[in-house]
Amino acid sequence: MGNWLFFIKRPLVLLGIAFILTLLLSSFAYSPSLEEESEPQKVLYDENHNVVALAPFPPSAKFPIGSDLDGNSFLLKIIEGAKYTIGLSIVVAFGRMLLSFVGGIMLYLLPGPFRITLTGLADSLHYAPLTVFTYILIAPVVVVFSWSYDTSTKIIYPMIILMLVSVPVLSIYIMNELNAITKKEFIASSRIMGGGFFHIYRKHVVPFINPKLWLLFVQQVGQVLIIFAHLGLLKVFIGGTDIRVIEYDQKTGEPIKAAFSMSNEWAGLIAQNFQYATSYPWMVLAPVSAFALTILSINCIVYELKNPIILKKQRKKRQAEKVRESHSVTPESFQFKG
Amino acid sequence: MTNLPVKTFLLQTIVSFVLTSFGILLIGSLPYLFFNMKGQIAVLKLIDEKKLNNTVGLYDSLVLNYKEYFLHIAHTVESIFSGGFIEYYARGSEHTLFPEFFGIYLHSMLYLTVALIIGLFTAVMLTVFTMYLSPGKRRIPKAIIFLVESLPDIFIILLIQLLIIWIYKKTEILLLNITSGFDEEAIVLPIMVLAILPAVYIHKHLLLSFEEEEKRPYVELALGKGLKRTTILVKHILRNSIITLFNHFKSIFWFALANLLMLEIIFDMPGFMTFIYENGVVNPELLTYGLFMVFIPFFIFFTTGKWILDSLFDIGGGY
Repeated sequence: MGNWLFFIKRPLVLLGIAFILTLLLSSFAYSPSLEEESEPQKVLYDENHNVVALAPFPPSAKFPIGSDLDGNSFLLKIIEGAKYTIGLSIVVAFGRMLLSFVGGIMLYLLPGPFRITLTGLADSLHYAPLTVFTYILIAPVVVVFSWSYDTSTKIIYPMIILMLVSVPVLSIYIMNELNAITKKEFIASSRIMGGGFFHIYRKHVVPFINPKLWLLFVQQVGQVLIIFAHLGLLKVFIGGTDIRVIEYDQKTGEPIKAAFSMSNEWAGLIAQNFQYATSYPWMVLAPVSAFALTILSINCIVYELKNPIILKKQRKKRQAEKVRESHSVTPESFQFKG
Repeated sequence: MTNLPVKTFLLQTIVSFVLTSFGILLIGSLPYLFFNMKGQIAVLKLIDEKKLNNTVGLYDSLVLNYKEYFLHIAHTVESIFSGGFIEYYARGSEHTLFPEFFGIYLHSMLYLTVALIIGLFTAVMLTVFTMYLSPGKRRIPKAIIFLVESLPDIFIILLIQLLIIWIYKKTEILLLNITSGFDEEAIVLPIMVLAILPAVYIHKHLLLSFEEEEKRPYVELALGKGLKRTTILVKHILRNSIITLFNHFKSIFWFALANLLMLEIIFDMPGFMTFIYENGVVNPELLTYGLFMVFIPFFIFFTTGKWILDSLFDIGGGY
């Protein structure tokens, strides 16, 4: 019952979760039916077999957000790619949280001077736009020296880098939160009464830090999605590969299907279609809007978790008004006696 | 300056400067830690010179090259102190970095600074305007702020670009140059687009701080004395909100820098960030130089700003 009310009081959270879940569920439901689908048409004919339009088709009733160069509907591509994009961003965000949590506790346990030094060093990350920094670390494997590394490296290594780049800043954030909580009086009392680190953590810190960690996790999913979108624009996407490598493998006759299995991943869609941005706007606008809507719904969740109880306050006010009404004096309140 | 002695302030400044510089050096050389950069670049050069056209047999794995990493850091430090003769490899040949890179840098930073100033002014005006609305009606601008800041920057930049193209197609009026051509350069539009997102961020922080200040007793007193609302807003509340704004300035600047890259790519105008993006992989030291070139002026600005604000407002003494 309590959990129930939690969502009813927070319609934006409900909306955000509903949007993302719908996207993910339809993505998983759609993929199995992919094989039965008929071949995409590159040319559209009318009843008299005259050519009406050539792919890519602009948005219409048949293609709600347009089609790609082969005549595939973009809506279906987006839905198919959703599970990779959102799934990967959740995996990366979870990895970030796990590593940063460990890092935060380690920082918290370190003596002061170390802490200050590490905080100062991590401050340098504030001057490096995360996208460029990540790109320079990922691109050698995925794009520039792509001939050297195998497919599994090309998928796992960028994920690890995406996790690691935010760990310093997040660790410091978690350390500061831990510091703020452990400065409270009841922690000191618990320590005086003989509570060890783990006891204090489990009994007194967890109730304070858990909601913050959840919030951070949701925020990180949004951050990772933004980085995915940015990297897509820089023509780097996880699970994809450079065009040059494709050519080499075609020469030797080696198919590299693994690299294409995620080609409907949204960042990949941005990367592949960015050259058509001005001539066929929907081809880029579709994946970018998919990112935008997902990030928007994540920010809706974050916003309402941060600024809660708006509805509750209103209800209180209404109740207060009711109370006042019942106490107000009306002619009916008086009665003639004898 | 009663609370913070000059000595402590200087010491803190120097420590944070040294630590951040060291951090930048550690960041910039990271590719040398993970990859066999020298071997890879050699292969890349062979491909560029068309001496090698088949890379099937070549295989490399990820490494942890501590030695190369620290050597490269030392090399970078050395080249920084040696002055302008730094070379980078691109498109099959070595180029000297400095006059070229510095020109690009000044150009892009000019865009960024002008955009930030415009953004700041717009945000202040918008905030004062929003404050005239009743608290209930402020929900509408707040909802708009939330919407704009929740959407990723590339979506907004792309949308603006497509909107201008659409207007052009419908009316044959080219509002502003969208991409830089051969001789003419798009100036107004990039700066305006670059100003929008920082303006929204500044507006958000200012509005929060204004609303906080509005509840303070001095505002009530000023209203009671019969001061005009505009005077109170512009003269008193704004002045007290500057500190809050200044503390957020770092993240706003960082954010604008990230926007700059997206802007340069979407509007196809080569600049500072695209230069690092295009050449930084083969020459990681470019990232180090670039970061220093952003960090040092910003640090000087930020520290002097903090110094001036501290002494003007006497932080710690007043409250």
